[in-house]
Amino acid sequence: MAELWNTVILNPTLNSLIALSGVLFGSFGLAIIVLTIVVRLITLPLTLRQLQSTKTLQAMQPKLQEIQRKYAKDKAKLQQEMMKLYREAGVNPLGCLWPMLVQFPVWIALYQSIMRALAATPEDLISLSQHLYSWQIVHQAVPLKDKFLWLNLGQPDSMLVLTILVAVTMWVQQKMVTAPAADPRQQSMSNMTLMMMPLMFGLFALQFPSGLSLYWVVSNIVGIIIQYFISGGWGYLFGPPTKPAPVVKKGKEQYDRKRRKS
Amino acid sequence: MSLSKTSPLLIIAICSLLAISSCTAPVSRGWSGAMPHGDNVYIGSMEGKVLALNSSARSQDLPFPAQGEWVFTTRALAQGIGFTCSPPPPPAIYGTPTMAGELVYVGNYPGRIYALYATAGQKKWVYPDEGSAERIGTIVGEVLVAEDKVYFGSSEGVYALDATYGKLKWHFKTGGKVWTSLAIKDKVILASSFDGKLYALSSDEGKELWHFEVPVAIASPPVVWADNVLFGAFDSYLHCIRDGREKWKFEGGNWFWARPLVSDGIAYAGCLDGKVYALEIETGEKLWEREIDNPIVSSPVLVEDFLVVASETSNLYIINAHTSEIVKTISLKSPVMAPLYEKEGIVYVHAKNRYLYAVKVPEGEIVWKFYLAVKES
Repeated sequence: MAELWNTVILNPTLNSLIALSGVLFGSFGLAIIVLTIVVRLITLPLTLRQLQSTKTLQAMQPKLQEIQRKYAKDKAKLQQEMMKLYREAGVNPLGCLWPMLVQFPVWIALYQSIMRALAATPEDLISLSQHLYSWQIVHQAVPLKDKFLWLNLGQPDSMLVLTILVAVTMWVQQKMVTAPAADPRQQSMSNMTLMMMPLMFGLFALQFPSGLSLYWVVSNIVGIIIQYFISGGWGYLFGPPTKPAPVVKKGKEQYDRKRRKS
Repeated sequence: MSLSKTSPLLIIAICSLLAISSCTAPVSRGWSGAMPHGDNVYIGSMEGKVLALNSSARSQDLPFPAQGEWVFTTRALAQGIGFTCSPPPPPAIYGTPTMAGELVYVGNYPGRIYALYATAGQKKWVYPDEGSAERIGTIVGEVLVAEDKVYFGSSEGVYALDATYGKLKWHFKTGGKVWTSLAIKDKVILASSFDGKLYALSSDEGKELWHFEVPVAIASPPVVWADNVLFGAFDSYLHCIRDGREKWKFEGGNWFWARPLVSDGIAYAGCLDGKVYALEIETGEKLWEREIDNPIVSSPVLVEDFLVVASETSNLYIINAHTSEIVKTISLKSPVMAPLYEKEGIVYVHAKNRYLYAVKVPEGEIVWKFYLAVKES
């Protein structure tokens, strides 16, 4: 299994990253940035699908809450009505989930590639030699230069700039798509999740090599840009939007059309 | 189920796994060889200790330390400001201790050079001083002692210290790390660097006399044979140069990292492609090759007509140096990356399981073994 993972996923990602460094003036930092953008663009269809699904589910929230109130004492009927609602809307309740699951191997491959490519110790360098293709550009690039701007990409950022950027960009990205909830309990949980994730990733950024933190920051920024253009604005970042966002409107129109048919 | 409920839980699960992986105990590193000298063997451990082991005491499995034995703990550098969830790794030792006169010289990975009295293991001097904020870079190669000076390479270039007092004589900054041992010939220091250059520096002043360049990093120590200099590089070639010019180069299947062994005009080179090559030094002609199946990082030794090779297969191979036939395979149950050393038919093997093995060649019998992770008394 490990061999399959290495051959199909890890080695291509790793060698692409190193080859990019060779092309981009020997800069591993630039290679991380470029490869992250490329990977986000390749997974754009999945991201769009995930956003679409999220928006549709949010538009259905009032109706879902009505059903929950109506059938609070009849669990079986509640489940039945909820599934009926999902079917009519053409939405899979876990539909926002699987695009993210598909992206996990990509994230893990990028993480492993960055850690391997940095090869900070002699043992790491020897291990790296077993994953390289015979491309001349790859062997000429190794060992990679670990300096990028003020960073040593093999060490955590001692100036904490990346730590803060990781937390802030993650918070912004999440906040843009998190609608305020009418239920105070749900709002409270939502607020907690909104704070917990950025804090946790910020703590990770204190631990991991700054090359990985750089990947997270770039990935988050690309995610924010995608959301901005797809959602037609900053979403819920500054509170509820004054006019419906195009995707929300589309999802709600689709939902209303299906209801009228039934 | 909405995004706000499910995805954070999954992300938290994944991130927890990543966090756990980064907060586990540090991986011990280092691959010092064991230098036999007199009745003792001197070795650096993965815990950053230097040990003197008496062969006779170890053969009898006497409690450590027996008479003539000692252990000295080297120090890491002072920690900078920063948050860590695990203690810093011990200061590993990669270079084999070097004997010169009454002193044992060794460098540790974080960047300190120690001169210890060989009889009792007391420190004579350390560079930089233990209270000093000076950084000289990471040290992987051995220390070279010649002309009353101590020479070594680090990630910051090549250094020369006074051998008696440990004062800096000169420092030559290279364009890449010098993670190899140095060589010396006729008052010229030879140093391989990750910037792709083999430097020739004057031993007195550290001035560059010439350099030979390849388009990739050089991680193999230079070896001198007559007027030839051999070294391996990341282009998968073993290079032979003479008078600063390329004489020949031989292509392997991967990088040449281990120091080539030269004897009677033949170079024996272990490669990360898992093969040992025997090459005629004058012409570069391949005499034979033997596949071991795993990368060879450890420098081989020659015992009479037998070449002894260790690799990451956890085996030690005794090979007929003329026919390339594998005469014996000894299982050590642990990979070996440290260079091999030999004295009086005993080959000393430092394995990754922290054991030092003394193996009689060509019989292949393990005479004794010793666990190096000892506490300092």
